[in-house]
Amino acid sequence: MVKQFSSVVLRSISTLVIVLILSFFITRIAYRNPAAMLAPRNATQESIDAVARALRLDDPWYLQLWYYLFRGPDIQGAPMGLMHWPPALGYSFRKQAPVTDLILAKAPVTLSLAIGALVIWMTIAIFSGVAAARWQGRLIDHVLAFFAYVGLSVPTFLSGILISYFLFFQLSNQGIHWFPSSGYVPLSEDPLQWARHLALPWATLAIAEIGLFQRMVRASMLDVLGHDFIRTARAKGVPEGRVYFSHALKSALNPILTLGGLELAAIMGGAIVTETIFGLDGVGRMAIAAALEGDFPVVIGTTIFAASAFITTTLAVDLVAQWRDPANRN
Amino acid sequence: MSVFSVDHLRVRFGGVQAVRGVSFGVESGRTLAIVGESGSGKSASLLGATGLLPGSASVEGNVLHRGQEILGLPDRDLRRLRGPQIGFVFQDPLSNLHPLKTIGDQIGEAISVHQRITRRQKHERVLALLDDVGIADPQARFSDYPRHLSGGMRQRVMIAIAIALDPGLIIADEPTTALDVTVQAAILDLLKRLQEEHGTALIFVSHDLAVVSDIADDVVVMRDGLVVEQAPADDIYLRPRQDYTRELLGAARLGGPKSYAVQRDRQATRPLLDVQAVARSFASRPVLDDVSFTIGEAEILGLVGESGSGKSTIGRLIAGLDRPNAGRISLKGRDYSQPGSGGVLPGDLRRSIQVVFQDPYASLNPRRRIEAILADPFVIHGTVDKAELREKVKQLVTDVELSHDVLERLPSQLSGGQRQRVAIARAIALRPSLIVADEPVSALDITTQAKVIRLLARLRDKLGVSFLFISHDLGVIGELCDRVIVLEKGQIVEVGQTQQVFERPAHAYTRRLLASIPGRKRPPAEAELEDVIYG
Repeated sequence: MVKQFSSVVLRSISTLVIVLILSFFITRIAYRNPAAMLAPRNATQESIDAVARALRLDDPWYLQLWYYLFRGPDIQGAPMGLMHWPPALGYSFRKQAPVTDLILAKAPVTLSLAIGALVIWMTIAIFSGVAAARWQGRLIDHVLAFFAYVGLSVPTFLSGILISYFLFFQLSNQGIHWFPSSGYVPLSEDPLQWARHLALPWATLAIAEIGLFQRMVRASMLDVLGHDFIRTARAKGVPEGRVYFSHALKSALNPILTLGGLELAAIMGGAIVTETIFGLDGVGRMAIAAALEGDFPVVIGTTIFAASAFITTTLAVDLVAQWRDPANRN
Repeated sequence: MSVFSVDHLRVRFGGVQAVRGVSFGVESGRTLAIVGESGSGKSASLLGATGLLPGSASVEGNVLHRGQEILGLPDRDLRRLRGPQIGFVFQDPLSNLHPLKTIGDQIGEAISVHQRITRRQKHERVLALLDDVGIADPQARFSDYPRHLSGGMRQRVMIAIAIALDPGLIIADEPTTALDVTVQAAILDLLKRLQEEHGTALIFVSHDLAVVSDIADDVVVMRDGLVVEQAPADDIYLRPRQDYTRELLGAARLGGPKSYAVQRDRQATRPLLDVQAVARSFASRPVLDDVSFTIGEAEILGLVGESGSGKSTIGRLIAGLDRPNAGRISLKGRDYSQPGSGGVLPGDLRRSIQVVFQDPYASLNPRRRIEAILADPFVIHGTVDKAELREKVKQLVTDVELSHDVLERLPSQLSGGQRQRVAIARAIALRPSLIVADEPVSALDITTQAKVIRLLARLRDKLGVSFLFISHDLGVIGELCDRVIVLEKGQIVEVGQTQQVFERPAHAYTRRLLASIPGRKRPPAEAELEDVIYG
């Protein structure tokens, strides 16, 4: 058990290191002259050079990687270096703040968005997927399939705008102010406002995922429903609802959990379109802004944040799957 | 009055009429055996009568439970019958138990979906049930999952579920078919004891007249969705009236093999395969210990033992799919399997040693046509010419006594026996000198078993190939094998000429195996019956 755990940790860390080195090199290739991007627009060559020297951007790449990983020059009093405690992801030249602080400030928004959407889409997808499987080939199955495929095929930028238009703009015109158009209120401040502000973005994200997951739940359920143990449950006189939710769903859940973890991680890495439409100041928007402005420490930092999200969720899914597997019990 | 009876029951799946009007009934304290091959409609009629078939099946006729018509009852009412009134035991206890629920939960649920009881009461009743069906240390087993139990224990759990609410009727659909002979005997005893204690009516479905011979009061013989013969057990076994009943009786090995393989001392010839002091363990658990034996040219050697005795491990080692921890295995004096890691068989040895597995459903790729499956061995070992390939494949199909039109079909379009013939054809394609056959007939109907066994014997005579024939069923071994090895817990406890081992078993374990063969109380019917099938 300890051996298994340490190997998982080791694998996660090495994945992170590889991501870090790759993103470091990609930013080196993408931003040929970062000092020029950082310096004021009409700066002379001397002042650009001075910026480069001050940030040690004129050093060879291996030294820069060393500074990034271990200990670079303190910038504005903020330390640099991942192996340092607390780990510092560098210093944003544009925002004039440590990248770690920036990400930690935006992470709750992204996390709220992703996890809330996950809860909504999983709940709806499971119930509608089970219903589609139970009444396979009947009218309700076709209706659910229709909505699933519509949700799947409408791109987020369209569904987001439509939701915003109807549920915010049109409702407000009618004098109904249920949902604000944008903004974010921390959960700790006011849970109701938090949910109100996130409701429309959640719906936008969930619509696309419900389609996918409803189809998966249906297929997985139909597969499991053919198994002998379902017949045993019926032979015991178990009511149909319980046959579906307690017996069949329990077995059908594994592929759904796996994909759920991956989709959750992808949203944490940046639901950029949704964040932009609903004015949510999340990690995704910050990453895009930084990439366009050449603020490469932020680019690397958000990449590492996204990679960590992937590793954590897949790890969590693995743990849940292992815990569910009777081979690992007793 | 019958506890349960069906009258003119008809079951249709789409365009296929699986059951074409059958009638039978069972009374309290009596056992009705329904016997027939797979596809005869025996399971379909019982599942159809109790509403357990999928909605796509249509069921017509009359089904009376204690005088009340239950066919066409709404789901809710049927559900109240299943469990409290009718208990079910199905064939394969692994696939029929929920893999992710503990056995305690699964037995407890059978009670709690019909009765309001506290958790504590439920726990106690489950423990009592586990004890009743003969599971030792119920407290420790309570939170086990099905995969932690042996096949026999799982079937006991199924029986505990069936009897949880003390129903008046138990329907047991091939409850012992997937089990070892010794376990089968124990499960049959258990069912009989429970029936006597509770006065339950029992409907017992089987493909084998021998299995039901000790417990049946009445027998219904079914074929192609119709009842062929229906009579008290004594009449069926002693005075069968229909040819088909005689055929089933001919295939049933009541109390032992009908006849022994013709004795030929093949061991005297130069040994083909030599296994020397082989040992194998998995994760420090010894599976085989000091196993040595030889197989002669054109000899069929039987290897018998219960599940977990290590017989399949021997098969894998000889087939070169695994390596021993100690000892060595050689073919025609050439060592090929020694302790060490990695390395499959060299190509020429792979041609010489082939395998036939137990489950013909799982061992053929479901998406490939039979022709492609049978062409593989030739393609892998060099033949590329299309016309030549086709001729060779046709010859193979002829060798295993199948018609040429199977070539165009997919495995799912064949019967179990046909599939196993295809698997055998694939094994003999490259004219190997040895075939490892691991339980090749255990998944087949008794009548099909007899046919496949005769095919193997003929192939041996025709091709001079040797077989290592692995089985838990001494009856099958007796009819086919020249010699037999008895394996218990990874050690060989007895070796000898088949007839000698059967008639004068030296080891207690062998005697126990022999005593487990069902149907010992019914002496085989008159000898001419054998001509029907062995003619």
